[in-house]
Amino acid sequence: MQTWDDRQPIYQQLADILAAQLLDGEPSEGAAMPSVRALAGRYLLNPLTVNRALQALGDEGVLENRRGMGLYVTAGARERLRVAERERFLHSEWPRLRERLRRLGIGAEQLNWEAR
Amino acid sequence: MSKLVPLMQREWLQYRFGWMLMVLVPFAIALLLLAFGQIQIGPEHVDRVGEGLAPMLAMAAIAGSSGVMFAIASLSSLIIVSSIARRDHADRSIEFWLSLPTSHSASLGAPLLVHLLLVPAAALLLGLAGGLLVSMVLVGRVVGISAWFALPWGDLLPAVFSLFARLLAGLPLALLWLSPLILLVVLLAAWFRRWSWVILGVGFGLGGLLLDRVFGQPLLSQTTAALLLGAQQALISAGEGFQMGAAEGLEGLRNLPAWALHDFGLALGKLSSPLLAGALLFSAGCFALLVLWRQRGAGAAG
Amino acid sequence: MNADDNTMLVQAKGLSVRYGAKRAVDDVSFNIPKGRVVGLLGHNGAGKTTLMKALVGLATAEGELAVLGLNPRRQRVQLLEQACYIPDVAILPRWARVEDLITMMSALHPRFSAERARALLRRTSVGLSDKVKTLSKGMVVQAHLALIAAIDAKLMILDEPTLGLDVLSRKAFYEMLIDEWCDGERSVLISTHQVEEIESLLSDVLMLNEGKLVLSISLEDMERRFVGVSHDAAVAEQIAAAHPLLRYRTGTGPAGNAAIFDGAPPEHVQALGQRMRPSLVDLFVALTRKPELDRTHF
Repeated sequence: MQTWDDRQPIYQQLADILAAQLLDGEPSEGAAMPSVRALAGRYLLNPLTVNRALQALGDEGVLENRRGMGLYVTAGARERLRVAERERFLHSEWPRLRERLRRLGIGAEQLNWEAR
Repeated sequence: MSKLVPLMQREWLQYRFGWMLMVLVPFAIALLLLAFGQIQIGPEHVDRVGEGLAPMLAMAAIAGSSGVMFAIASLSSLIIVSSIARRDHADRSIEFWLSLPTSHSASLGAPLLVHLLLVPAAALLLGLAGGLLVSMVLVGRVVGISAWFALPWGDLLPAVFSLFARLLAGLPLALLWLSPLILLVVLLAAWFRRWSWVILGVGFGLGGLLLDRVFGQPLLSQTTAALLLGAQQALISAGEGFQMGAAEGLEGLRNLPAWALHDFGLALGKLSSPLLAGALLFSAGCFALLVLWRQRGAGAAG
Repeated sequence: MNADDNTMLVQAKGLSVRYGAKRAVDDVSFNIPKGRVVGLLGHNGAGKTTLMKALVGLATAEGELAVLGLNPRRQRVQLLEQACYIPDVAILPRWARVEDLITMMSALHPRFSAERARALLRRTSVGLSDKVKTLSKGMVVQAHLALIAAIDAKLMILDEPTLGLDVLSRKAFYEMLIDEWCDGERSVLISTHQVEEIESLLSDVLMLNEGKLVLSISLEDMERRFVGVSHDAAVAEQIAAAHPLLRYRTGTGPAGNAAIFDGAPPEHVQALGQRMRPSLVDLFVALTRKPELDRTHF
């Protein structure tokens, strides 16, 4: 079963998981999102929580509500998410990581930039 | 009381195998004994009855079968009924039954109805059917199978059926007379479980005797005796017993239907008795207490 | 939980249940709207079972109580036809076959569907002709849950329904709960010890401590109201000075200590550590202060 950490509200964690999947193209832009019920069953969450997560993604412009048909991934959603992810990394994760590298005494030249 | 039938069905689902054994085993034994055992009838009987021997044997077989069936069924029913208050406590399923949308009175009334009325009635009928079979074996062995077919069924069947009709009709009446005793046992069993029979026996039996002989207070023993008598008379022989001299033979049997009807009328007449009215009030009181007990959680833990 | 009478499935006000001199449920007030999954949390003896019994008319309660608009005590049979109640699983009659139970439930429960029951049972390892007494405890629970799930009820009141089930069966039950009962019209009231596991399924929580209701809140409001701060041991004293609800060691995580506040603490206190989400388990401990707790990890 999915375990939820204690950093953020659960709905936010679900939104992050879904955003990561969207970045991977799952589902692709223009396609329909899985139903609230399907997501609730997959992650064993109360549908109200799932709704909040989808609402959060909707607020970011990643999902749109097509009347009578449900939620769909907006065009350009992946780019929007990538931009948001980039911002988050640069503003919170990177400073922490940089601090850690400094503490460990690792310089930029020692890091392997080539993807395996 | 709309859920009464499904609740009665529970009794069937729970006890059907036991009931089937209860019916089949005695009959199997009886048939085996009769078919292969030794039957001796004293020569004086044969001489006296003569031609009426076969019908006598048939009646004896039928009456005997039904009597035994009825006795076994009544005994088992009384044992089951006395513990209905607590029978679901051992496996804790009482909580399950309490969680169902059934009224307390229906839950208590259904087993009473099934075990006290339907089961003995069914036993009588099965005893009748089986008795016919037993009579065939008995008559066949003593006199010869052709004699069974040659039996005066025109006289025999009405006699048999009227006797059974009398018993079946008298059964609910007898239950009315016995209700205070039975319901008191059921009520006591809510707290004292199996000891309730002992308490009743000691309380009413010995206690009544004690009150009567030692303290000169015969009320308890007299009431108990009167109730038991009322029950017996409701079942059979409310007035004079059925007289059938040996010499009358078939003639006597022909009088049975009329006697049975008359007897039933007498039994009905006996219902208008202040003692019975008081007894029924007492029974209703016991039942109400049982409903109250069940409402309070039926003594289930937590 | 807001009051809107039309959609309230349960309305309790000043509800108390007394056993002799002791109050098993003490002046409890709450509402349950439709479309919710409400967790009833409390230690053993806190009054959960008694409260649930009062809701289905099996215990006499003082105060105001309306369940599905009915008086549980006086309209018990009618109520139980529209709600379903599992008092304690593994209490099915031992003499019965599973098929017998289906027969009886069909006759006794107007909203029971034998077809659904059989379909649900097919997903378990319980056979229709099995006798209850031959089933293991876990299988009895599964059978009971399948029977109850086959009832089309508006309100499900479940007292520790997953006790005795292994992880896979619990998961199957949670899946069924979400699939079948979270349609926005029905509500579920579920009491459990496994607070951690159930947290993600709940929409609301009721916390009982010794008969009293110490918390009645939706999970959404809970996240807004209670603030968790994880911090180093170094700043522990400063944290304590801000009067948190509870302080404890987490053991895991970078900071090692945590505190929960009722309402946001001042900025400078929050800056001492990192903001975190107080889990239901933590809140439960904070508000009921008993050391024994079931923290099952899987």
